[in-house]
Amino acid sequence: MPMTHAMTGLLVCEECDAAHRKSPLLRGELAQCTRCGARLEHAQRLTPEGMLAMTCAAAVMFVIANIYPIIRIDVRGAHGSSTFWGAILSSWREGSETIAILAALTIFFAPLVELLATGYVLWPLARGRRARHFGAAMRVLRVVGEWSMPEVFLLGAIVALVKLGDLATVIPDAGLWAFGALTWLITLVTSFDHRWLWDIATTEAGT
Amino acid sequence: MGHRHDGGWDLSAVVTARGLGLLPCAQCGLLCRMAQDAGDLACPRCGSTLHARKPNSVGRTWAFLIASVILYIPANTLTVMRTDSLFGRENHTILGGVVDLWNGGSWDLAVIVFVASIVVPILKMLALGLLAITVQRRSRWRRHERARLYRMLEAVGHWSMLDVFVVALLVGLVRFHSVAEVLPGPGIAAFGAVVVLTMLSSMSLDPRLIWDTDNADDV
Repeated sequence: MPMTHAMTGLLVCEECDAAHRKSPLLRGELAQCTRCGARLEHAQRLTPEGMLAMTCAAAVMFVIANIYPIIRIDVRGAHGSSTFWGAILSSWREGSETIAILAALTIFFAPLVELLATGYVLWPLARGRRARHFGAAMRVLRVVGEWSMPEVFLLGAIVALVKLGDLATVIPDAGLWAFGALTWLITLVTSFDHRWLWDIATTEAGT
Repeated sequence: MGHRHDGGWDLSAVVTARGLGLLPCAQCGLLCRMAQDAGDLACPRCGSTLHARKPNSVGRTWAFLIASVILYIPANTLTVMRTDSLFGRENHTILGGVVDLWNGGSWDLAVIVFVASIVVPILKMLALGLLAITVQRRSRWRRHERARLYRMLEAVGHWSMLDVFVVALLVGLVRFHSVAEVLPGPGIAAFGAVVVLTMLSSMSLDPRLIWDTDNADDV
């Protein structure tokens, strides 16, 4: 007989296997494992509806971040600018396919899949229903989340700005600001506890 | 926050899911009863295969770790970036990039890049090796610290990708063929591979193995 965490009243630490008696958390509270100190459970600040709204906002920022130039550059009257995809394609053309693929996967495809899968899971859930391929989408989210790194790219863009600052006039452009907003929103959206969403989908939306 | 009393723990008080005969699903958290026959069980809620511990955890950790250590050599010795400008051609290595930032007056960014590109990968490889060895030997040495070390590895590992993105952006931006150009070198691909491999290595490591040394029957 399968049991959800809620049904057994137990909470098992994912990092050391210690079983704890579950106690209700207030909004924003955090439960820690008494043995290894790992995070056991985090009371969600957002409801599925709130998360869905954040996902939509993140999707808008994602589009802007990928269309608009990230940095504009001016060297002795010669102008240039680069969008995210411009940087990827140049790396590819100049013979570094590996970094082009790595950057495309971690900055574009992973966040894209994250946003799509989150939207797909949350849209029906906000209406008390469970998406048809809920399980598959949740599995995808787990894998892709490990490889999504817009925050690292943001820092990389700042380092690139400073490095070029000695040689040329560089101006951060709309794409960079959008990446900043995207980083913040996507962190909020994807910080949910998978077990929590599974429990909602099982108890409220039926199976 | 957790209270640490090393050695002062009443270990008999710790009840594990395994001790209760329960198998938590790694995907959805459903607690399932362990079956007597050790065949592969599927989670009734989400369908993923249930494992009490990550399968072949230590072996996989070592495999990815050794591959990353080998690639770390070309990542640091080969050129990661070449700049052609009116002042001539320059080859940059990972460490060289940090030195350039420092000499250019951006000591704060130099420190960040130094930590992300040099300190984190080296410490990560050493820490993974330490965790793999101690887990293999079923050591009970400093388990709290090792558990915290594992959490730090997971949190910090992907920041080393920083240099890969910096090179990609510089290559994309500086394309003034007559005046200045930035080209990627073979070192950056090796460096990217090191970061990916160390991430795979730490993902393969099952932190529960650190604590499986409590009870003799917990094998």
